[in-house]
Amino acid sequence: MPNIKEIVVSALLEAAENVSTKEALANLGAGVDFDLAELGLESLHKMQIIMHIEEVLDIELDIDDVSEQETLGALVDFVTGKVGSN
Amino acid sequence: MSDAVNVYDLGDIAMILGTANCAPVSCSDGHRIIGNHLDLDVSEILAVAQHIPLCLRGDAHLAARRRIAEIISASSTQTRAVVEREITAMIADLLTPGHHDVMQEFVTPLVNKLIGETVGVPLHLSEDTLVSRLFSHTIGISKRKRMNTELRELRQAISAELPHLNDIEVGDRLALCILGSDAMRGTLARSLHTIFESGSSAPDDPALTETYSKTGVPFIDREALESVEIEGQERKAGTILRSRLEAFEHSDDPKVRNRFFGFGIHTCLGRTLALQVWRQIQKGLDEKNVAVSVTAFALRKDDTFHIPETFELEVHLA
Repeated sequence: MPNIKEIVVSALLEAAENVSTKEALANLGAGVDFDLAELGLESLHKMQIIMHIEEVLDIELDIDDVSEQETLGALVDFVTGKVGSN
Repeated sequence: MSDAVNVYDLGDIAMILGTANCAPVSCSDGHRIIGNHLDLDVSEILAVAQHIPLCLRGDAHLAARRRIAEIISASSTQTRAVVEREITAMIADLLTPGHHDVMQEFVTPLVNKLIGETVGVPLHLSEDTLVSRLFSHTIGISKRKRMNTELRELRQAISAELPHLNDIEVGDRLALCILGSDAMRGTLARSLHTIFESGSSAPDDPALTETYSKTGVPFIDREALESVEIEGQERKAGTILRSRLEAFEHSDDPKVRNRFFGFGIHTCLGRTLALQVWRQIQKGLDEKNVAVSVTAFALRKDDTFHIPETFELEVHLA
């Protein structure tokens, strides 16, 4: 089983590095559970995150499902469920 | 499109779809923006969108609609023959005692045959085909890539089967596959479901049998080009008005229910064929008249179509 949290954090960091505050990036880098809205990501950033996760894990995600995940922990759990169901 | 205004009033829906002051909404802008941002090949999606009337405006809309209507009209004798030849036998197979997957055994093969006959190419679209997901705003990147590939393969298959066609004619046939597949499968399957839920293949309830009772196309979007009053409220120019066609499902009057096929110049071009199909299905269901129970039914997660992902049936001798 791949380290899903690592993959999700990496995808978020890649999309957020030029748009999010230092504090939000620090939270992300530390892997603590926090509100993803703090990253200030727009819909195109979310698409970038989805593409990264889909490619690394070879799964299919929908935008609305990903957008519904409010925290890092929720997103990791959601992606883990998707990997498990494949 | 999450800020679209839902419209349920039947009169307002008729007005929105009947006036030139409310225009179709592009189905390709989102794909284009995402494709550019992520350097994604969405060329097939963008190309075929230029052939889909309900995504085009003005003269382009009228021209595409006229071309597609001509294709449907030119194939009407053949499609009618398919309806008369195939449906009774397919219904008889579906209603033999035992367990049945309605989508796999009946709905998808029938729709493939009908659209295939219309476009002049044998179609083998699978249960999970993505061709009609072109209208979706929520599918992710993998599905967009898969859709683009599926559309390319379908376009190549049409070109190979009908080499005399030019690019526009091929694109129109591809558009027909997109327009017909999930809309027809959803409408047919959901309406069959309401019948089979009664416990019989031939319930004594004209509200279920006279025409389709459910639609696979729950809404259609239009952009208000001028300020317009909807359900007593003024909506400014630029507002996306989401006409909930599913509102017509609640009528007991078959004529009213059939309005979920649209109005005027926005009437579904497949309406006549769809109604022929339903009449033939009813004949088949009446002839068999067996006891049925729906053992599994679930709609696919989909932001544009209402179409079953699972629809299973147990047929018993009455």
